[in-house]
Amino acid sequence: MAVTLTTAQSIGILIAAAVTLMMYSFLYKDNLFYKFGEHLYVGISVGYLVNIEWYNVIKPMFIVPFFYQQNYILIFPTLLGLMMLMRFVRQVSWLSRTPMAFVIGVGSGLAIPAVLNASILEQLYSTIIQLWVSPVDTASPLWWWNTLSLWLIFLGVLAVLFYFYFSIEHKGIVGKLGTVGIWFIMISFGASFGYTVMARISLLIGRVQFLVYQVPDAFKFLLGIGP
Amino acid sequence: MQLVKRHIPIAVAFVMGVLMFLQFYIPSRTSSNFLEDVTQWDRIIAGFALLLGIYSLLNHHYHKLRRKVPGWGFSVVVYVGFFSMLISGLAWGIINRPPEPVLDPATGAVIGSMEIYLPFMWMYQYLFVPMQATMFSILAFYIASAAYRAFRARNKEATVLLLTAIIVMLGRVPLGALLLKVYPFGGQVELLPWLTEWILNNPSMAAQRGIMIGIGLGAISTSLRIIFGIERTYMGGGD
Amino acid sequence: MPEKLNWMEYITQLDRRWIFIAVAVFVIIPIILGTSFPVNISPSVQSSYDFIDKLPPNSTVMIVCDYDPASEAELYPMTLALYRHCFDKGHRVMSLTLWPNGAALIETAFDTMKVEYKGNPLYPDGLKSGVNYVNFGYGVGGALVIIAAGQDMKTAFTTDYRGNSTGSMAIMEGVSSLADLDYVIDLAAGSTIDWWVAYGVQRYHFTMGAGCTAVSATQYYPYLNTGQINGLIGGLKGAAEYEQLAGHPGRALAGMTAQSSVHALIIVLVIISNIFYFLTRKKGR
Repeated sequence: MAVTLTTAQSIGILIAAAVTLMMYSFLYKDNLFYKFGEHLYVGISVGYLVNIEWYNVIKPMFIVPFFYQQNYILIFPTLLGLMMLMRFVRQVSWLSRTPMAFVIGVGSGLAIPAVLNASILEQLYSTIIQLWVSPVDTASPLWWWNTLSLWLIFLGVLAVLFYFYFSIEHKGIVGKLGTVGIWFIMISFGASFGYTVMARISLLIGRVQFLVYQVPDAFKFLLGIGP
Repeated sequence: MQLVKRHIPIAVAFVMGVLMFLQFYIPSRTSSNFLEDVTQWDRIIAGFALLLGIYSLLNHHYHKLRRKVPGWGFSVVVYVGFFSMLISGLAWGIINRPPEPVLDPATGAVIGSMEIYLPFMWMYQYLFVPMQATMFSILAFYIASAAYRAFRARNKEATVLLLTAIIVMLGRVPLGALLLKVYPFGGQVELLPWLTEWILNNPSMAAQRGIMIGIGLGAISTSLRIIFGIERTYMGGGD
Repeated sequence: MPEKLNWMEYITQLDRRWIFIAVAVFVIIPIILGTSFPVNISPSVQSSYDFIDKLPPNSTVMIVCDYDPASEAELYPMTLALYRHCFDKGHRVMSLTLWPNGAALIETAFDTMKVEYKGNPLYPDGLKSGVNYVNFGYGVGGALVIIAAGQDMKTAFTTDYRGNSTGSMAIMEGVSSLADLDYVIDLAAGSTIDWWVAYGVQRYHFTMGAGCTAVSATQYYPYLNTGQINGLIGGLKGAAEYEQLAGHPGRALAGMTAQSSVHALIIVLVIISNIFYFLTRKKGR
């Protein structure tokens, strides 16, 4: 079903196009338009954050449970939160240490088993659990290629771990493995770079699509020659 | 005073760290309830932490305005943007009304719909979103310029990096599939996309796994240092 | 007086604004021409698509939109493609974000879906918040939100983004924690996929997929290999593949031609700069 543009939308689209071009003017050189846009963005983003903080955090997590559901125990974390804000008052900034310690302590305690399982044990398990694809068990004629790939992964993980291990000197077998590790890292960073270029260009494509597809429709609506 | 300023926070970090670590390995109703309560408390405290950043930013611009440093006019713009967004959200809410149907004047049938915008959502969609999206899209130009000026195959490692980047850049777009109509192992995927997938799932994945394990070990070591009070930078400066 | 550059040195030290103009031209022209080509589907995207496609109708899928407008160009088309696929299959969709700037983007996306699916035979009364979908909005606390949702979703999200209580919502029937969800997919601009895997999948054992910006895609292949995530949709290309699979071509597919042309430009520029770099170096010796 068609979506009809309203005046508010059309004006909005044109203003969005104007601020987009204002920000792009930085590519020529730093100028007043860019600075204006940058500071306006900062102010709007802070105003947005305060609204989200009120509607999605303070109201549902404290105001409603405390005043309407009589969950009075929540006064304690609220007091700790207010103590955190004392960080900017020099005379009593030490008050912010206890709530900060609470948050950091909880985070650290939760992180240890989580990271141990997800980032270390599971990864090591997958690296060593299968190093052979049997030609009998699999229907694929590429069993030899898949087996080579498994050994390549095993070698790669080992080599990279040795490269980052600085507690012993990189000589002999350790040095050679470290050198192999560098090659794997270069391949990975090359892939990351290729992907990074793709990501940045995608952001530009998004903006250009907005300027090319939506701005003409907005002009047409305001001039009375389109939907 | 040292007890309150230093020792109590270190003790709190230790106690909470050990309790949350042990909680994972104790599968009981009490343990589960404890986790829920601590999580709720921590989220409320974390909510206040967001206000720290907001205060810091507004304070910085307030001082610029007060001292009338060069460029203080732009700090006025910051406050104008801030108050417009703040008042529009608090006064009229943050949810748009449902779209209203557009009727054919002749038959009265519904032929479309139109969006009704609140000031908050209007400013979000037509100021906040385009400005943030544009700021980050500027990086596209800089990455192209950086690639042209700095990406040199100075040695073997840099050459491997460059070649891998080129393979991935071609393999991840339709152009790569059109360029080389060679099908590895007689499969159905063209060479460049196939090679890109193989690189990402094998050598690149191996290196990333090694890095992930290293980062994981570092995270665990940092967490232990915090719990045992060796790492105290979170307390800030002062006595 | 500065030494006059010869033409080879001039090319290696070209003013970057010429490169900016070239990039702009190579992006704008394909978009204006509006050509698009079908994309090859990678196994990691096919895997996520197949999983959602094979879920029985009325399954509950959580699509976590952990991004803000900075990554909107890559992840918003992905979000819309996933929403369309889920609503085409009659699934219930829950959304939330761990990024404060992304909460209103989810609301915008659902508003778009409400307009698109008005009159759809699967939804005679249209898409309804609290019945067919729910936007939980911004969850403060990062990984703590995941743990809270894993323990009890109604306590973790007492209200939705609109301020309505989630306790009595029809969409919450049969869903008390993350473990009750049929699929969770995290669309991430940052490192939240690590949090969802470490604090979510490892603790509460639900099936998870991931979507991410191309910048961070390479770092999530280890999770794909171990099976901690069962699919990975990477960048605008991943979004284009999903749009093609779901049968809803959109912005991502339309942008692939421009993506191809700029990639070709950058590769040519890098090759030219390397050739002239080596020539000037050789001449210098």
